[in-house]
This record gives sequence, C-alpha cells and structure tokens, in this order.
Amino acid sequence: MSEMVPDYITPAVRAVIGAVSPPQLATHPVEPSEIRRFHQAVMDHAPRYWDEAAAARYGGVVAPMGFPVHAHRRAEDQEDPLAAMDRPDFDGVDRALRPGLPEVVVPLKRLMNGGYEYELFRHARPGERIVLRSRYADIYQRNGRTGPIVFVVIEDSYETETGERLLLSVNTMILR
Amino acid sequence: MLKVETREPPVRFFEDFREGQDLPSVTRGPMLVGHQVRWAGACDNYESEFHHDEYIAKAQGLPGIILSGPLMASWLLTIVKDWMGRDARLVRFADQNRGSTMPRDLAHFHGKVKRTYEDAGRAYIELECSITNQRGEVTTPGSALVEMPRRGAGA
Repeated sequence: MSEMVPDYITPAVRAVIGAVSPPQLATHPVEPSEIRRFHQAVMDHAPRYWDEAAAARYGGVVAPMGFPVHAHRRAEDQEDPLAAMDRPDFDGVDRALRPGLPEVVVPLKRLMNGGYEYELFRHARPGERIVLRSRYADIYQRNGRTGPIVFVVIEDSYETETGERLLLSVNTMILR
Repeated sequence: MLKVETREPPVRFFEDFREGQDLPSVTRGPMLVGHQVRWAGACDNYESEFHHDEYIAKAQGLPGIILSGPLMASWLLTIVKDWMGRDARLVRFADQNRGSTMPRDLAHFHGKVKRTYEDAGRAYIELECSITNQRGEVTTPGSALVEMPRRGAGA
C-alpha cells in the first residue's frame, strides 16, 4: 500500500535557499584556554597548541585546524538554548541552522549532522576573532525506505577580521 | 597517573608513501558519555539533548545517547594529521556521519593512500579514511588531500 509522502520543500522552504547570513563575529577572540579544551576534547596532544618553541614554524601557538567550525560561542546576552525547552511549542529541534540564517520550516522531528567537506587554509591563532558567513546552498528531499529525508546543504566561510581565509566548509544537515 | 604523551608527529615525506598503502590503524574507546560531554563543553554547544540525555534520545527514536558526528570527524581529522606527519599541510578533509557511535562502542580508525601525485611543483597525497566500530560497521567514511614535503627539499 502506498502512502502519499508530504512534499516538505514548500515555497517557504524554497524561499530560504540561497539565504546568506550577515557576517557573524565570534563573541570573543580565540583564547588559549579554549584551544586547550578543544585539543584535549579531540585528543590531539601536539605541542603546537601551547608550546611557543614547538609552534615556532607556525609563527606562534595555533588552534587545531578544525577549530573555527566550533568557535562561535553564546554571547553574554544571547538566549539560553536550554531555555527553549520551556516553550510549549518547542519540539526539541532548532531549525535555524546557523546564526543569522532563517529557520528551515520543515516539521520533521530528528535533526542530524550528515557530515562536512572542509577546505583548509591555515590555523587560527589566539587573539584572532573569527568571522563566519553562512549560506543555505541547497535544500532538497529524498524519500527513502524509512520515510522522507530533507537535506540542508550549508556553506560556511571562516575568516579572520582582516579577511584572511581560515576554512571553508560544506555541511549537510539532515531532517527526518 | 600515566601522563599523556605530548609530542609533534614525526616528519614524513611524500616519498614515504605509495598508492594502496595501508596506514597504521588506531583504536580509541570504549567511548564514554564523558567524551561527548567534554566535546560539548569544548564547543560550548549543548543544543542537542539527545547527546547527553538518554531519556530524550530514546523519545526521539534513537537507541540511546549517541556521540556527536562532528566529534568523530574531529578525531578522524586528528588521526589523519598524525599519519601524515609534522610538516604536512592538510588541504581538504571530508567525512560522512553514516552510522552512530554510542557509549561503550570502540572506534577503529583506518586509512589508505589512494593516490600520490604532483601538481605545479607540489606533492600531494589523497587518502581514504574511515572509522569502524567493534562490529565492523563503517560509521564515518572520509577522505583527505594533503600536501607533503619532499625528501631532501630542505625545510
């Protein structure tokens, strides 16, 4: 028995394809303490992250290459994401997938990270403030055996404040 | 207490690799909720309750808490960096979160040299890499492109 599969790529969803965020300046410059927490979390114990002598060939201590993707922190006055759980209409999924981008209004309940493609230019350094620009490159639906799946392809550009490129990322988020 | 070994990976050269070569597999785990919590803290990202609350994970249809895909990708990126040596330059990296990693799972990291080539005087290695679990399921297939130093080319 076949069932009608809803088309989640509505005009409202189609309208956000191509949306570009304003530049999102990281809340604070890259800090040695957060570099430490990050390299410990990813179990990368190379001394280039804290030892000036080991980092001399980079011109000083650096952050792990993938760090910029995870460097945007909540500002002091920004809404507490955990407080969203108190909203009666909140279903547990935040569909504004990047700061400065509109929601992808697809009422599927599970949000998963499908993976990344990185183009890497250089390490971020302590004291640099990372600027993120994001774009919904594509949003499309596939109907699999387990039901409809909506893919949201997001291009993210990470630069320094002076416009030096650190990392480009293509991230596929999945709603199902 | 055992100290963590903190050292840069040794320098490796383009000439040290050949197409089809398997890179030394690395195993991490068993995974703990603590690994996930530490990652959430490092990223200041607590928005997905299913990464730390088993009740909510199960309510969303998951078998339990799952570790973050970007954490697994970041571990894979770290292993690629260590395989290719101190002076390699990572140009591209990609991963897919194909299967879940859960607390108490093992993560085996595998790599193979897919292609070695030169372009405009620079030497590159393309890798296939992946994470498999203790059941042999590929949870995180990936790939990387790395620019390598040449032996005898000077610092």
